[in-house]
Amino acid sequence: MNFTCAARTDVGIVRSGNEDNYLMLAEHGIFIVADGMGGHAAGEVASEMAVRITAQKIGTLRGLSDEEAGERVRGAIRTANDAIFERTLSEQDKRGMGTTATVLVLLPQRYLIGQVGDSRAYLLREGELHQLTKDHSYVQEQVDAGLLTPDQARVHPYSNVITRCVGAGVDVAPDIYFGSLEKGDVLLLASDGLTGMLEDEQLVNIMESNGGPQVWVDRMVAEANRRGGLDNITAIVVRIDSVDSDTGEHPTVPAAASQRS
Amino acid sequence: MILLEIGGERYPIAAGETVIGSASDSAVVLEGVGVRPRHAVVQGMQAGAAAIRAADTEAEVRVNGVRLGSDPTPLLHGDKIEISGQELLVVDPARAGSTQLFDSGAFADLVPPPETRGTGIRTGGRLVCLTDGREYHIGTGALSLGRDAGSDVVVSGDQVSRHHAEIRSEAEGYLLLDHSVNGTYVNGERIGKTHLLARADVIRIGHDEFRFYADPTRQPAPAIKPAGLESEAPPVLPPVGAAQRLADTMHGMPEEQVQRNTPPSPEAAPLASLLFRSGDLKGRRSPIKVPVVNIGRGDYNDIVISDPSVSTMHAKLQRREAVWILTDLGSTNGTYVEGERLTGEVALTPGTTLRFGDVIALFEPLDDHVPATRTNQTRMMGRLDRLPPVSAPAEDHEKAIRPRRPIRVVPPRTKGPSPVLVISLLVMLAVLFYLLLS
Repeated sequence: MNFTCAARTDVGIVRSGNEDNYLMLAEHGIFIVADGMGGHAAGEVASEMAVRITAQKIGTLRGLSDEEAGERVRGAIRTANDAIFERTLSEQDKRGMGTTATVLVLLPQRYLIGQVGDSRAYLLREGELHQLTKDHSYVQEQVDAGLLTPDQARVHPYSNVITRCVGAGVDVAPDIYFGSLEKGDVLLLASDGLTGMLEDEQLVNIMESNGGPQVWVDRMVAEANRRGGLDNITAIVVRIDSVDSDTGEHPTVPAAASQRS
Repeated sequence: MILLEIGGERYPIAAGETVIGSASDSAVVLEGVGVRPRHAVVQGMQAGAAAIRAADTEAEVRVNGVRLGSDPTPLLHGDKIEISGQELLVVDPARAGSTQLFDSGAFADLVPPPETRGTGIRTGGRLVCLTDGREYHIGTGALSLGRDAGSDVVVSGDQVSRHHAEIRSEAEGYLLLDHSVNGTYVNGERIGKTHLLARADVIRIGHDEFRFYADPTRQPAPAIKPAGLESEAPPVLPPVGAAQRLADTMHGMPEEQVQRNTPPSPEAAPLASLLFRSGDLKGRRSPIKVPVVNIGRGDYNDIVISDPSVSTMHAKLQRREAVWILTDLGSTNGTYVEGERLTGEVALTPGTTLRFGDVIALFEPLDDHVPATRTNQTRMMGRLDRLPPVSAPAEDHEKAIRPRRPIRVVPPRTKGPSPVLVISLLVMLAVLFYLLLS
């Protein structure tokens, strides 16, 4: 598999610090976005720990079955949860810290996503944007239960409340998603500072414009800031340039792929 | 064509290179400390697009607050370029909806002086100390900063003057005035005598940093706009609901959730309470509104029990997967559940009597998920060696968010046959015996 990837994070216009973190390990095909919460810079600590520990624990998924790979990702997020929760107990100023985590791993012809919280993964395929993850949020649960319409959910006073969180308790239950990949697919991981500021059509417009992943993430951040930049903004874009026919191969990265963080 | 705007002046970006710098032959001449002769280069493209890059690796150029690396970044309508504390606004008339042809001179006459750095920010000014998070509001009077104890914001340090600086609310915005010996810095650059503050500016005095906040500027009143340019610069607003969604993320529901008129849900009801049976809190009921509460003598606990027998961090009560779990946090005098000292974790059932040190409390969950078995005084459901591994099935959205039943909770063992059973057996035997005998 060949892919091109780019990432960018930005403090936004309103917030004083950036509590988002991301990690792009292109050579392992691992991409993580985490949106931390908790005062006194604790949110930054939580999101940093989440991306670092999760990536470490995933290591490589080469040769694993889907089930094993899913369990590995789930276990990695839970390990990060343990470490963060441990710190909330031992360090007083870290009480209440936690983070979302959206983890994308590229498998030979498939993607694997681990999800906790309200950061999101999207897939743009043939002009259609699919949200791959489901938010662990109060309003999402209300919508699922039929108690709120999606429109009501958008303006609900508790639309900032998440119901699962890495580091808030002794354990966490990540959702795991699988799906196939095709040439030309574009995957987007984003914190709510992006998805809350831009509509789906705007995301599609940007990812269908010229320039490629680096230009797209730059545009997404600029556009979110232009609309007010109410929260920290983070985006990772991965464009699938080719998919192998045999399944034994590991993802390869073209030289042009940029990497930050 | 893209325009760069600074201090009310607009500079069109033609195809080719436009240099921004302090050199007098630069297309856009910027003066000020830290501006290099050739600081940034804007590359105009044929299609009216443009990109900016730093002229060399030393030059610091920020676009929307992000420092440019070696790669150029495309400029979009509304982008803010920052060079040594000076801000240039990127304006793309085509993007803003105007279809007119004009030259920049005529344009400047037509449009009222657009919002420039700081201008018009007149409300909601406040400073937040980045060291301790304290917030200082800037009222109509001046806010003084300095080492002097009478300052509104007292800043310590030998680099700080007694009357170091002040912030005044003026007609053009919030003005920072430097009265110091060693200087006042904004976004890393030493300012002159005065500096008009922009939102999110970071002010440094000595070793302390403060971030300046203010209300967003209003859009200029449409009445000032000339008729021909009515479609100019439509306000770009965040989508509906963005403010709520992007408020500080919280895990679990806030307290007022309980009172608000929201649809019924597992999270909407008060979760549980502790009814104290002894100690200073005797007769009081402590509500539990979040799924995790810390209990102890320390004032940072969610439930504070100020009794000498209670440790500062005594115990933790947590709801997981519809089960309330109590953990002793290594307390000195122990946590007791129905008179038994707790080691590790235990799942609680309604009506359980708890003891923290010498303080006794009754645990009363109020959420729907715990079966209402309060009447028959069930004891604890069993011990959990560790929490059950929770499996969220892949690609199963419905299941993933439905509260799950607890796993691996051992039901209480009945110790021997129940009295009722014994008596009825005895009666039956007696009847049988009687019948046989007669």
